[in-house]
Amino acid sequence: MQTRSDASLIRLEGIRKVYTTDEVETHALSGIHLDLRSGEYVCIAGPSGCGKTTLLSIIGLLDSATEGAYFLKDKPVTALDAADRARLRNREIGFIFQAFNLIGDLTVFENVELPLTYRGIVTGERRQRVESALERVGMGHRMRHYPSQLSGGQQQRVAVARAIAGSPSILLADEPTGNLDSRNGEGVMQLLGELHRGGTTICMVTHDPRYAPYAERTVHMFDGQIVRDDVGAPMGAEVEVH
Amino acid sequence: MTGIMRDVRLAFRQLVRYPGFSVVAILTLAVGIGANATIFSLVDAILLRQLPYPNAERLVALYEVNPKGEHNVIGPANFADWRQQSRSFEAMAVGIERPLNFSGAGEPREVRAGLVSSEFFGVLGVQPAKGRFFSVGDDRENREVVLSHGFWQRQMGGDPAAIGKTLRLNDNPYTVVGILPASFQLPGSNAEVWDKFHLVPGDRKNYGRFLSGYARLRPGVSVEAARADLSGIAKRLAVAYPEYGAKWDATVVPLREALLGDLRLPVMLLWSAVGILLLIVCANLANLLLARASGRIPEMAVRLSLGASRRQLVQQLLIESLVLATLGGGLGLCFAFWGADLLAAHTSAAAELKMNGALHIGLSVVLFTLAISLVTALLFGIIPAWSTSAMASQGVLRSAGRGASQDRRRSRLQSGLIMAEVSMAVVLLAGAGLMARSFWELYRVDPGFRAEQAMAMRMALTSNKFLDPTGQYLMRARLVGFGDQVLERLKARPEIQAAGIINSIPIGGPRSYTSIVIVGKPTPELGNEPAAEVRTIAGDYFHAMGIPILKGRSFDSRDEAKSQRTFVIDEELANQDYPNENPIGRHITIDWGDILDGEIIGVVGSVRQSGLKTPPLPTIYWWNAQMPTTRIDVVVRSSASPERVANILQSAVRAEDPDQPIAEIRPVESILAKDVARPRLMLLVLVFFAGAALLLAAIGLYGVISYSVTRRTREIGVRIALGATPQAVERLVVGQGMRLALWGLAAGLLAMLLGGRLLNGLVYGVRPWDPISLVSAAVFLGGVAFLASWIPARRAVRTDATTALRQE
Repeated sequence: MQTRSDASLIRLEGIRKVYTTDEVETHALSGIHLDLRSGEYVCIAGPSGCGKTTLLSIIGLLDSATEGAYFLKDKPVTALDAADRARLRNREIGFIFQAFNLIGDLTVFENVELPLTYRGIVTGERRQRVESALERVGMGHRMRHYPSQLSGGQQQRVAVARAIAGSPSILLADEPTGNLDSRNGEGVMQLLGELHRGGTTICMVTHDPRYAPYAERTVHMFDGQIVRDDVGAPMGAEVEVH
Repeated sequence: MTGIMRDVRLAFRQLVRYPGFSVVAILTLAVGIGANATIFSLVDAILLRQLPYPNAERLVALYEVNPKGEHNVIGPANFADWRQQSRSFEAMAVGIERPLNFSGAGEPREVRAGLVSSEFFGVLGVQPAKGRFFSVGDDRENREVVLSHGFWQRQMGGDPAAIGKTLRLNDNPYTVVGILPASFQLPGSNAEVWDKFHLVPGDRKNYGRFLSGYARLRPGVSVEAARADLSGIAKRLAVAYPEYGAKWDATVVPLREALLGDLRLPVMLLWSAVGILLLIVCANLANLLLARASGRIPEMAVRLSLGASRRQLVQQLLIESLVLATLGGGLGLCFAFWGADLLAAHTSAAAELKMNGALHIGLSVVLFTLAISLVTALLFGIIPAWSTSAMASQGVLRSAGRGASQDRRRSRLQSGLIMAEVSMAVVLLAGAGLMARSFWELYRVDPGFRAEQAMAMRMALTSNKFLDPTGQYLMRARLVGFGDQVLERLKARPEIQAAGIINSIPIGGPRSYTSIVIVGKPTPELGNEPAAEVRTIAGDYFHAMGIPILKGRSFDSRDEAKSQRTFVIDEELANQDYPNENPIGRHITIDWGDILDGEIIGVVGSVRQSGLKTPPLPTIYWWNAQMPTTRIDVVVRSSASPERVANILQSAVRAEDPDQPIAEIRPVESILAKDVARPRLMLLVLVFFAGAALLLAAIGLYGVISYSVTRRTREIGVRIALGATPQAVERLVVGQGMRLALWGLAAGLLAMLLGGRLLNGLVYGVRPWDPISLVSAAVFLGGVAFLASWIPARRAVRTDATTALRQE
């Protein structure tokens, strides 16, 4: 069941990102215009070094653009300070990383609970949300385990549970299958598909052509620019450079 | 051996490759080991080494024991009976120190003379370097003198023909019969020359008690047996002479304990403090090595894969620690020389600390330093060596989470070491705080007189001009006249506000304590007589010393030599023996050879005669004109500079007698300062150690938290990605540091509460569990711990989440 709406969730206008080191300026992103709508499942594709992860970092409020405007639910976020960005990130965005990034000293339950503790949610409600999220990803029976006791696929499932526990507006997944074998990768992609069908907005970065078709829209990037924005276009199709 | 030499070479290469770490480690070790070496020189002299005499363990001190159970000096008549009746001793001797005026060579000066019975040197087992000692058994007064090596060098230029030569002491010719070896020392004595004590057993009452006793046990006789023997004799004498000795006893104490015993507790405290400091140094270094361990694991893993055993890995790492510790120990020994000189130069407290060769960095200290360097290397090296080799042998897997268990184990070790450091730092801080409070309480004690703007000049009026033509008896009029003339000259000076004389200045002078009879009160039973300190004064002494006159009057022209004898008593005596009544006009009787009856004419404020720590003792003052003294301190009050006042004092004496030696001129404040010199020294040393401990603990905590932030960079990036605000990240890091610190604080405070009673003998005016000291230490260290955690927390807040999440 698709629940895509016409409401703009995240809108980027004229985003540029320049990294400056001693003598070198690296233009990671140039003139990015992107509109992500509620309920969409977007894949950002492109060769290595094209700026996919930089774009995802900016969308996820982990990094700031050098130039351009960013609107989240039609509200500008460019001028927010670090604390406000953190609060916004906590409420609206859920991250899934390639390397899982679970915290080794915390149990599965505590890892999933972590973003909820930053929001100040009371204990009872936190417990409910954590258990619900873990059940949703099929990891409810491993709440007391530590990440080191789980397989790669299980760790990524827990990472997904952590991302959805706070009911964010959008899930950002950066190469979510990059550290997994094909079977586990398929499993995680199936999970993301289920979440999307349930109404979750997903923006995924991947360079694996097997998983791009899971998305309903593919944004192609090259050399820091969006070169094509296809609805349903698979990877490997001819890329038009503008 | 080849393997060990290779490991040593590799160790030096490591030191050169990481100069920053090496310098920090070696300096830290040097401070810890150097402090231990310095204090060990005290420990060795005071606690371990025997006195420098043959078979010193057989030497004992003899005491009478007064009815209060206190050790007391000995009466010559009692000593004579002990010597006759006891079967426990090979030899027995007595002695007393007194000032003699040395003249005839340069400026006349006072010398300290040991007046000893003929067996004295035989008891100690000392042999003369030149000549002979006094003939044993010959107690006649035949004006022979034995010189110390220092006096022989200074006053006679080391004259090889000194034996048989004549010196003038108290205007009398003395023949030099012997010279002591350069190594001779009697702890607690400043004697430069040794004169024979003319022991005249006889009427007990005429002589009182004033001698120190020494003896050498017979072979096979224990201290306890000798004590029982002497006590039995004393009890028989008490029955035979009840007026003199009722309820008196006698005891025997090992000489080492008698001379050095009261230094035992302070030296133990200092040794404990440096021991704790060294443990903190070891914990710090262990943490540093643990932090470096993760970087060495690939190297160790390669060595293992090439065939090295775990034992060989541990050996290599321990040898690196040993090289560090040896270099640190060598530098520490240099620090010890400097530290010993520093302690030795610090006021008069060092004079007693220099007993028995203390503060001398000799072979024993060098060997101790070597041993402690080895132990230190083991202490700080074994945990990191074992841990690193374990991690290398298990291998380190790169997959996320699997390296976490090794990290957690290392992290727990580091946390444990930090908590131990903090707890030990708290103990030192609290101890320093206690000493500071104790010193402050002591400093605030009212001595009973005003030391500021008062100067004292000490002299001994012992020259022949004060003797009658027969040379046997003192001319009282001349003694009194000399003092009065000097005072008149002083009072004529506009700079001098008041001038007086006393025979034994408070705190700085010897005690003179005797039993008294309060006329008109029921006679107490023998052995329970009231007692009082007795002081001779002249001039305007009370005004000069700022002692208030509370009732009646002080001595004046009405109190002449032939007048009715008068006394002034102090408030302590008035409250003790005349509670709720006016003592003015009442009489006291003192048995001073003759029975002296005196009328009380005044009451003055009490003075702490024996030191700031000792409460005031009941005191009777009598007038020099009626009971002249040969030993005087001239005290003046003046607002002029000390140098000016000293010149005035000297001029007044020279005008009366250019040949009268002056022993010492000093501000009265310096006498007070000398009384608090030892607690001040203890405080300074403890503050230094506590400061070093605090710095080390703070550096250690900072290092551990900083390392933790580095290790957790990715985690912090994840937390930021999940919405942690900068404040939340800061709380995370500071919270980690403060948790460690709080556990350490709790452990340290518990240790102080449990062990505080060990400090009972060292603190004054405060309890060892003084809450102000404990809370202050905890708050101070908590503040430092916060700072040590906050600095890396700021770094954590600045973590770039994007970069952190990309880290492998």
